Amino acid sequence: MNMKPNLLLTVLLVLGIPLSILAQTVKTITGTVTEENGNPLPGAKVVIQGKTASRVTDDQGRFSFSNTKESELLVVSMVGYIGKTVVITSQNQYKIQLVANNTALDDVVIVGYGQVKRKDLTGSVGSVVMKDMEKASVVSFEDALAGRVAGVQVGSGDGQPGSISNITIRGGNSITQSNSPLYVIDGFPLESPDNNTINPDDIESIDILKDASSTAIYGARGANGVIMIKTKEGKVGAPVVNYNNWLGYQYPAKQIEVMSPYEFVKYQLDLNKTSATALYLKDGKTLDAYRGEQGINWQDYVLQNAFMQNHSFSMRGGTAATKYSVSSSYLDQNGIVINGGYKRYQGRFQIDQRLGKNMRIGINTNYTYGIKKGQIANLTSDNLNSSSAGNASSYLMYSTWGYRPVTGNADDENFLDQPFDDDVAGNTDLRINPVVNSNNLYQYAFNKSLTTNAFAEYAFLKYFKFKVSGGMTDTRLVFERFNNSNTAAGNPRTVYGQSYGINGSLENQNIRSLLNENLLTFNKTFNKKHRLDAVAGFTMQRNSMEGDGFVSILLPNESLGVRGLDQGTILVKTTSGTYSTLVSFLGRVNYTFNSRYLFTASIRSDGSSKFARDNRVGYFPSGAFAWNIGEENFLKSVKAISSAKLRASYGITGNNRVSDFAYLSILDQEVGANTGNTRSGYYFNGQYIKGTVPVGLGNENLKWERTGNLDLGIDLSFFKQRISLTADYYYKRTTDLLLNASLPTSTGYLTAFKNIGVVVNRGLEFTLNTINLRTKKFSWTSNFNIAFNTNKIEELNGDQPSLITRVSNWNANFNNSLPYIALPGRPVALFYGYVFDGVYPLSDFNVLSNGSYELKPDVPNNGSARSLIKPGFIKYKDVNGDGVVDANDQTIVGNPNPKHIGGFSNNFNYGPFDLNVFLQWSYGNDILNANRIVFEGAEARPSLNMFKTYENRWSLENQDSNLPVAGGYGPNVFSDRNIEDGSFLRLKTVSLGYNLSSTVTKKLKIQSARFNVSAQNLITWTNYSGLDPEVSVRHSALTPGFDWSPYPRARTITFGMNLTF
Amino acid sequence: MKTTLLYIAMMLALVVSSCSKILDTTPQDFVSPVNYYNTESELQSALAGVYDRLGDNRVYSQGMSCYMVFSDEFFMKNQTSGMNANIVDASTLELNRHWETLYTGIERANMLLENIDKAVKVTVEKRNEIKGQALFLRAYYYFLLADEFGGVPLKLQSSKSPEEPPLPGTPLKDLYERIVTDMKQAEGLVKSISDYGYNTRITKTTVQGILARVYLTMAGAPLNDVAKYADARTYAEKVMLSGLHSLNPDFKQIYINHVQEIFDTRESLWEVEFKGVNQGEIQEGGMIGSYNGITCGNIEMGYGYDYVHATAKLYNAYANGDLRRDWTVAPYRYVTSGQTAVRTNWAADQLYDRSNGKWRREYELLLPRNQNYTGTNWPLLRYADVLLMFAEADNYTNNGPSVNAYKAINMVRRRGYGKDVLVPDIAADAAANLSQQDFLDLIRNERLRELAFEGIRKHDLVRWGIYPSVMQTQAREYQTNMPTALKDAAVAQAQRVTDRAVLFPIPNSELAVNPNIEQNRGW
Repeated sequence: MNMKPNLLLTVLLVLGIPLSILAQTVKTITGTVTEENGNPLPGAKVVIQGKTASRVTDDQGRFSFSNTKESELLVVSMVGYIGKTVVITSQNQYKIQLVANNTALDDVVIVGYGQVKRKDLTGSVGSVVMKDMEKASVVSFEDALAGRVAGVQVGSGDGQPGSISNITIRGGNSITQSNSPLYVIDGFPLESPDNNTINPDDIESIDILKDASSTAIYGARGANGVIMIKTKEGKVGAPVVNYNNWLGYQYPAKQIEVMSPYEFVKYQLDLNKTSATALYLKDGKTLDAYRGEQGINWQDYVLQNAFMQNHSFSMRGGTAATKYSVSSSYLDQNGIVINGGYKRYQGRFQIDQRLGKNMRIGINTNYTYGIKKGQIANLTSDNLNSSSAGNASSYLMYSTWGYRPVTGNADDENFLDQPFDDDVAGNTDLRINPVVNSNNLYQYAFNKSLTTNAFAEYAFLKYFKFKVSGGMTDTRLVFERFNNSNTAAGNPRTVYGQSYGINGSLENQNIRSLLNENLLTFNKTFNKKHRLDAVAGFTMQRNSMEGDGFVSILLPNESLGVRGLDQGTILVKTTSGTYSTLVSFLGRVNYTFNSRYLFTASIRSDGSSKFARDNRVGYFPSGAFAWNIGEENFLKSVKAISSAKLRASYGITGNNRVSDFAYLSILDQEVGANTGNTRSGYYFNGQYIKGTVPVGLGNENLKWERTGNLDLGIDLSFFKQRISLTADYYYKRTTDLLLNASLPTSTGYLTAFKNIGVVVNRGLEFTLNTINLRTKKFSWTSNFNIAFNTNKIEELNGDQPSLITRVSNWNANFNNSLPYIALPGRPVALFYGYVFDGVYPLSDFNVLSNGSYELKPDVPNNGSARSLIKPGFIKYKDVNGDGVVDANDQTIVGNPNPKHIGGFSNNFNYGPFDLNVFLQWSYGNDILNANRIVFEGAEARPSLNMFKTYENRWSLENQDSNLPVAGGYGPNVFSDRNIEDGSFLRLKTVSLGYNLSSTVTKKLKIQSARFNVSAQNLITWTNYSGLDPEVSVRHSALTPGFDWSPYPRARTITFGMNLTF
Repeated sequence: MKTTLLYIAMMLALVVSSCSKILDTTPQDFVSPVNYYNTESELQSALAGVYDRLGDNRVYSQGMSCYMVFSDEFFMKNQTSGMNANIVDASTLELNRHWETLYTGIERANMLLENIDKAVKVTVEKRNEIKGQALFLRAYYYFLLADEFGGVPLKLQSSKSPEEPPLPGTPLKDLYERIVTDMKQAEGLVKSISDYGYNTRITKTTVQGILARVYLTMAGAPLNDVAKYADARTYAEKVMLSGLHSLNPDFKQIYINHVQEIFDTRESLWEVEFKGVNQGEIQEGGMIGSYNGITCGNIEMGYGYDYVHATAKLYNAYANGDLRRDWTVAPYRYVTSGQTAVRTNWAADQLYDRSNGKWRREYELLLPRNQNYTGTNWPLLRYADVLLMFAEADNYTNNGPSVNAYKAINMVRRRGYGKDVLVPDIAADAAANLSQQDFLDLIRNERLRELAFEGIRKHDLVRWGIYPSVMQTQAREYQTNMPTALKDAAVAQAQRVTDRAVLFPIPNSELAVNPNIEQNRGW
């Protein structure tokens, strides 16, 4: 009996000897299930083949059976591990080691309205490897999602705490509307949830539906892909209590070097000798005297090292009848910019109860209270609501970089505390001290978010289940702002302060979604070869949003803050409300023949209130076929290949991201103060009459946008699944785009929604999982993914030849320059501008008799008048060769779309140590660095400091320089001078962990303990000169990759402890 | 089990039947045009929306008082970028917004005119009064568009769907014909200025005065339909014979009245009404006096940006004794240091340093002052203008100035010299027996002297067909005579007025999506 059990089994089977004959006497066995490193595996399922009795291992991984016989088979399985079958021998004790299933073919993948095993999947679904992602200590799962799944592009606008990422799956379909995916959180579909409300520790799995066969079941909302998030449930067994804690600190990953006092004064003298002499060379002080001066680097005062902590507690467990999960967490993240940060209090409760034989009910509730504090770095702060641009000086990084390092006065000490720089240009050019302004700003955003889902499931007729669920997410946002007399918006010397005095505002938003789903599922295997599972359902969803708020101005008691707003003059800011409804029918059939041929067909019909009656309903079908070719005999004999599957799918998905009543024309009265260009009333003889005016042109013909989506994929694994590869090709063609189309403005409207335009995205995705090394003590596994997407406009708003787009709210001087262009045949966004041609050398000029320079007649101008151009001024190429540089010389100067993106995650295990190294990259995308435009000479405001790079500007003594002379920036246009390669490779996460050995944990009476130190954003390799290459502060499909006054990116080091009791 | 299935089926049936009800949503925070235009207050509110466009930043609050109307009367001090420096192309934001603003005004008027007769409960008389104002304003916006952009699309119906084909340009002649037709219709519908007692509504004499301006424009470049001089004369005369208007004896009081928001309905036929300093909910202040006022760095004194500077040509256009000079061209500025500002006179030779002095913020009554916003009204039609238009039209139709033409111009001149307008005055009166051409030259200069900084000079130069040549002369004059510190920017501004500059380019926001319209020549 020392043959290997499998072989024995085979032999017995071949001989046809009935097993029962060999069966010995009845006995009791016990066993433990462990990981390879010996750690117990609680929750593993153990059954004896052919019998109904099953066991789940306890917290020590133990199990026992009483009525067993020799030769029976123990089948051990657990999600995430390769199952194992063990023959019962004469032994009574069994130690069973399970190997982690790197390829996860048996993993369950959450798909729309159901779940399937990965090996049975016909569509393209990317799963996040949660145990890798958990290594990153992050506030929101979005922060760790980039690079985890092929084809999922994740970018945060900048480093602002609590901000929301831009996620695009397989390229953007839409030109003017949102390209963000649909989120389905525990079955609840939401179009734009604030994912900061989810505690990452609560997440069990994240699956990303990419192709039509998986997304078409979400019909009208599936075209941008779907992110399925499932939270952790209780598992049968004793309560598992977990405490996860990390403490850490963050510091700015980078500062931009600005000019030193000496360089600054020298530049000032270059710019305007007279005024600079008066300011800086007072009382016989010389320029050289500034050489030794330290000056103030305002970044040192505005940025800080910030503490961060997270405590997360959970208790999960259950019996066969009741499973429960409770968790609670607290997170406190101070900002690396002073007076800001993010805090979160969160709790979740989940219960799943069996009632009788056929009924199951459950509730899953989460409440999160999030507090965001501090100014938004890339918006002006001198405004009552930060939606419109104010004084450039109140952009955080503008004022930090630009505030001068020295005053030229003997007594410089108070400069740090003075709210304004009085020596500089008085009221016309008010400069706000960034430290004073930041410290005094009171800007809070509170988010109270309650999600609750309940369901009842009834199993009947053996193969049927009927599930009714109802849910609600209710988000209350409260925005509080207060501008005291030391802020840019409240000081009487500023434009806003003058008009409004001390002021503040309160705004409430209530966003609610109600959902009802009714699903009937059928699951049966016929004749062992035919497996059919089907789902049919009916769902209703209602989304609504209400808002109200007021502004209070001229406040008498500054000290009361926002609670004293009632004492001022109250202005209505907004009262608004809108809602939409969606009623859908859905159905899907999965048919599997012989585990080899897999067919999926699905259809959804969506009726949406967002369209006029005749166009409401859309149908979204899909079909897919997969062939487990590895099961075929001709491949089975190839030993190297352990599994192989071919997939093909096609389907139609939709997009309904238009405003709730886009089909209707809108008449509106003007809204309240300070909300933009809406002053639509008029005074007659001192009496004001409010205006009622058309503000939106409806389109009765609006209908669904449609995306046809083809996916061809292959899943291969080799050498007993040590290497597995998934590759996909996709082709998405979006037609009848819901385009917020430009109208000829002679219509009286700028834009209106039309179904027009065609966009194509196609690409390749590869995911490679490998077990590189596996010895008893040491293992190295890795996950590598890469995605290539090309995006192309095939048709744009009918005959419209191009769409050029302005970047609003950054610098009013550049209002007439539009840096983005969309052209048929090209990607949705490209950079557009002049071609930089260095600076005008002396040889381009004739010297006049009075010693002044005159541009030679055959040398083109730079967009400025010829008489204004002097040596060292910026030069642009006369692209069309007409001798004049003007708007007609603009051309495509860059591409913000990456050629490929990806991630590379590595896990090393050595004894009790584990190390995770995660790299993420983006290659081939350009960034428009607008900071460099302003701080390398364009904004020639007196006494505005510049970047250190501008020290090397052109001058008679430095004629080789390519940087324009002081004051020589020329017209306010964009050029390729400021387009930079934004490619980067980032060492995003490094996490080193140590697991206490079981002997120690036993002594401490705990189940397991892990300690770790981890780092986020440790190293970024890039040629980009700005603060961080992952930047897009005015993000939209038409304006990606714009860098202006970004919140600096933090590098984070955390020390963590994870205890399980 | 059967009952279960039955139950499910029943529930589904119930749910399905209520589906279409669930999908019938109604907007909560705006109204739809079909539900509006029923009561008088709704009509008045819609009309206020049509008027509103006059006060937009890119119309009279700012743009059309300076950077959109570059002429020989001013330059923008040291402005080298954007429209402030007269740099214009089809993508210029201000220009796009200007066009859009006027066309939204037209759309608002179209909506009102289409729906006004739904308000059957409102008396016909009241409806006519509202209809007349809307009709006139629509025609006036077209007049501005025709003047600035040439043969623009003529849209007399409101937009019904974004899928309507874009309109082509309209031949300029047809456009003017329609403007005239609508204004004449409005003339018969609107009320008299005496019915209101203020001048910010459209009244009969306003319509007549503007019709005179429209006819004069048609008589000049580019249409050169000289027959229209007679019509211009007729309509100017209608205003003169109405008995409702006369010159304010004190030239400077006209502008003090604007600043103090006092309605002088005799001198001033039509004004844009601005009010308040944009503090609070209603933001209807303008930038008259701050953007185009006397240089001053102090808010309490009345802040003035240092932009609009008078030219030597303007200053020198006034003879000795003409009191208009030192009001129009400010002889002083405020020198600011720290929190104080001191009124300081310019030296006699500092001709190019002087600001526009017409609307002086020290006269503002609403305190404290705001840096940018003022309640100062903007004049759109003054009686002096009507008199000068009459004289100009009469000079043409009679092949030389008639007695009445002399009478009209002399009234304006005598007032300028501080004299009684009806009493002949040797110093003030125009030289007798001028030839037709000399009288025309006199009118041209008189309009410069009388109407400087009122946004009409560029329009005049264009219709006289001399805009580019006058501006190129100015560029040379700046080159020779301006102080070095001011010269470069001003020369560049004037040089940009080449032949194409008689019209603005059709803005990109139209051109890019309207294949049926052609860009103006030279752009």
